Amino acid sequence: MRRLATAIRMWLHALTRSADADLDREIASHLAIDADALEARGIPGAEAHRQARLHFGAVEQHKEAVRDERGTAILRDTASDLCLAWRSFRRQPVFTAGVLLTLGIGIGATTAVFGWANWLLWRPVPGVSRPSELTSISFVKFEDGAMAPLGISLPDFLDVQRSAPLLARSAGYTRDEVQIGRADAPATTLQAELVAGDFFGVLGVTPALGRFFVPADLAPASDARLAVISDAIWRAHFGATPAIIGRTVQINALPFTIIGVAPRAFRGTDRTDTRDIWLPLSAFRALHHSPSGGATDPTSHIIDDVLVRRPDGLTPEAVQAAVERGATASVAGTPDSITYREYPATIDGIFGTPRRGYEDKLRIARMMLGVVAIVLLIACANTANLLLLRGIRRRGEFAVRRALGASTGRLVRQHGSEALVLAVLGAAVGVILAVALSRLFGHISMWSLPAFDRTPFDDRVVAVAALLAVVTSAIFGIFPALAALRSDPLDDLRDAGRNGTRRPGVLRGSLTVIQVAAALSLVVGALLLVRTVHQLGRVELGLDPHDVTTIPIFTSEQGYSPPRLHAMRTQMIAWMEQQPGVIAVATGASIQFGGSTFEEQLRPVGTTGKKWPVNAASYGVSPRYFAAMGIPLIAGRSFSDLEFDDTTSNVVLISRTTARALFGAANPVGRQFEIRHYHGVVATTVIGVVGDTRIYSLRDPFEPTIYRPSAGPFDFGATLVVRSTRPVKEVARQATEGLAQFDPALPIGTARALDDVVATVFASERLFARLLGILAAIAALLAGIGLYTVIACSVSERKRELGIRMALGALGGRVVSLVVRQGLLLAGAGIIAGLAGAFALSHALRGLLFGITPTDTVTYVVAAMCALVIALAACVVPARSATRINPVEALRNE
Amino acid sequence: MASADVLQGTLDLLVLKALSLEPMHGWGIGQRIQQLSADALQVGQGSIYPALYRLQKKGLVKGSWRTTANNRDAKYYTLTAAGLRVLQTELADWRRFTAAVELVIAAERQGNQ
Repeated sequence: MRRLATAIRMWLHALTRSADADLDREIASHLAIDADALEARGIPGAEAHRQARLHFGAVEQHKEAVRDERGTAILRDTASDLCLAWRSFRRQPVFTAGVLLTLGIGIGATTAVFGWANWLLWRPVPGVSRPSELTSISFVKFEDGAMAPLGISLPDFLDVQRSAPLLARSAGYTRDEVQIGRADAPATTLQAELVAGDFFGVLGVTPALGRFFVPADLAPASDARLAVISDAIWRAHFGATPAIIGRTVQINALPFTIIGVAPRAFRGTDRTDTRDIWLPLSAFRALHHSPSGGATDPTSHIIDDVLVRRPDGLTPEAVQAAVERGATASVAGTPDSITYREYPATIDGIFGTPRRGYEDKLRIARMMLGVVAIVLLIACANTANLLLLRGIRRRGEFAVRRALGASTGRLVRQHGSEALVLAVLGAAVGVILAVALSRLFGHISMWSLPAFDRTPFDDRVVAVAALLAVVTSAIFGIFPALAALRSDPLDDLRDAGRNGTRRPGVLRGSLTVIQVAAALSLVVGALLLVRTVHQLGRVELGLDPHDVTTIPIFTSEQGYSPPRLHAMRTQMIAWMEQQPGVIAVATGASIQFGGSTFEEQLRPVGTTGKKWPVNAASYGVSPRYFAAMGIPLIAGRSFSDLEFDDTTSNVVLISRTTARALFGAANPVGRQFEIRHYHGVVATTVIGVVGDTRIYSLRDPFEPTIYRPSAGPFDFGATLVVRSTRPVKEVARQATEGLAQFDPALPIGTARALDDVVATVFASERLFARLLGILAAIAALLAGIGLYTVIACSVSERKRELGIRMALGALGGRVVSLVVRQGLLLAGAGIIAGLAGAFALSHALRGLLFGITPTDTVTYVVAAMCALVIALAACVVPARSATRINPVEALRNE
Repeated sequence: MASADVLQGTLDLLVLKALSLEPMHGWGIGQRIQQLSADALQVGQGSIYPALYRLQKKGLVKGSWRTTANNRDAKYYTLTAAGLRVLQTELADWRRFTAAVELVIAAERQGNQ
């Protein structure tokens, strides 16, 4: 390091030397001419030379002025500034470590969170050319404040596309899951995009191999069974062979021909996930093995998102208006169209932003940006404090340098370059910490954001980190230099080395108060969220999730008929019941916490009128479902195996809430009620009553629920529910073995403990609680460091005063209380301000809180106590060092 | 007034003017200004050089090494064409300025009577 510094210095020296030599020669000549003139007036040689020098004035100062004019001075000065800075940091390792740690933590946390938010909110979709020109339009409706996606049919989309020239370059797509068959193993589930229009052309993606779709492939009437696969799938499944083009594969048990491979960079239209395969949207019905009304059937193929590449100068709003006009005209032309005429076309925000199911995560990402801004504020305040302290301590040094002729600009530059060195080192520490922190975030968000750890950094993140570091330290590095310049160097010189009884300045004091206040607000916010998560974990579920493994089995992709599905269910139940460790086995078309629920409308027999009084979640389940899920049977009985097998059986179990809604206090067992169906009304008989359960949300009251032997039209597959003493892995192995005996091609879904499934319901709250917890801890640490440095520096500044006090008989305890009182005053002001800040923050969090009010007294008191403890800890070391001051030494000098 | 320091902006003007009479080295410029002002203006010898470098950077003067009558090495400065143009506008400005100041001062005396 030192050798490098020397080399740089030598090089810069050589660069400026020739110009300097010329100046030296000129000044020498000036002095000689002046001396000649003086000698000519009769002054003897030596005296003439002396007077010539006097005439000229301070040679070095004039040389410096010339160098300033010439501009080369900056280069040379910068080099020597950097060397000076390096040397002075090495002399003060504690100060340097403090600043670097503070800057590093501030920048690290900011960068990590910014990287995460950037990844989620703004990163351009990879592999797409000029994504800023793309506008994504979807058709949604707002229901109870929530956004429900609708879509537009393929024929209507084509009408829209033809309706305006500006929509010429548009495409539509729908996300789906498909299964790709394999020779000797169960099919693999792939993430697909079903596409219409000039999909790849609009995105500006060109094939890495083969070709993409042509318009004829994608027409509504087309029965082209063609597929484009991703680079990743090409490598993983097909050994990256070029011979893949033209090969036929089984997709959802249908033959498709692979026509192309997408380039490696392109992974679909969503920045947060990966798509494996692209298929024509016209194949939608076929892929789902459901009968189609033909090419003109508007319900055949629904497009979720319309994608338009905007012609020059057009705004997204213009595109939206054109799409809406086109859609309205298209619907008017086909009266029986069920395109969603009453709902407006909506711009989806930045192209590539994940939408469905991600709203709460996006909200958390935005909130985290706010939180991390607070942490950064604390770090900046801390850095500012440290630099200000350093500036004050160096007043004497600067006064000497000014008295010796250093120019204003030169002093400011030296401060600036020290700040720059700090910034660069701080940014380096910050990036290291950011990598560590984002790893930590990656662990925390496991199920919420599975792909987070893939690409947390890009250029933008690094740029932000660097900018933050430079701005922070430049402002507060130069500030003390300017302050020093305003003061009289004589005063400073008199003071130098003999620190007076100065108390910490108002600026430093208020910076410390801000830090404590900001940290306390975050701690309160984190505590409220932690208690929310705790409360959510204690909500009565109405079922017993311990020791339950759930395994989804998707059969509709493999074209299973209802009888075949039922055969699979009964065989799997029978197989699992024989396995060791198993206590109870059942299947459900859908299950509690499984994500999708089906609603049905109910009314007591004999009610008439349009209104159906009860909306109930409906589950199609096997006889021992209640035993497997741990739902208590309150009255009556569960289904018999016979009722389970008989597709015409009209028996039902209802939850306690349903019973109360339909029958009041009367015993419902044996009574009938009516269920509304697509094709009329079905009367059904209650054979039992079970306890209430949560369906998904833990925050809402119990909802009416009914259980039937079959889910009828909703029977797309089955989720296996196994209550077993064996771990999830073991149960999954048993199930895989059983399924292979029934159908080797049928894939088995991911086995998960029901405990974990329930936990995902409040994963967002938990994620936010943990992230906020980490940041609050960082903030508290920073505020502690800040308080410590302020107190420690003030003790060393007051050495003389404390020395006098001790010389006059003050005891150790008195000195300690002096120091601690100063710390507690600052902390106390910070705590009061912080409680006000916490009040504001917790109201912003209101929507996330559960089972606790935003103004929970206990939380506020606990947080304030924490702050107090940290403040005391920060004062202890300086206070102890104050008692060890030797009065004699302190008074003599330092 | 006898030893007034010359204002920086004015120094540039004086240096240009001195050089417009004949090419000179730094020491000579200082002497010439002092002499022309009948010793009223004294230019700090060292402060000539920053002014010369400033003017040189702007391309108004250029310097070259020559030998003086006394056989000393010295850097002689010459006015460039651009320097001459600038000098003329600066002189015009300066005259307008001093005339305006003079008018103001004169008016004040009349008002006081």
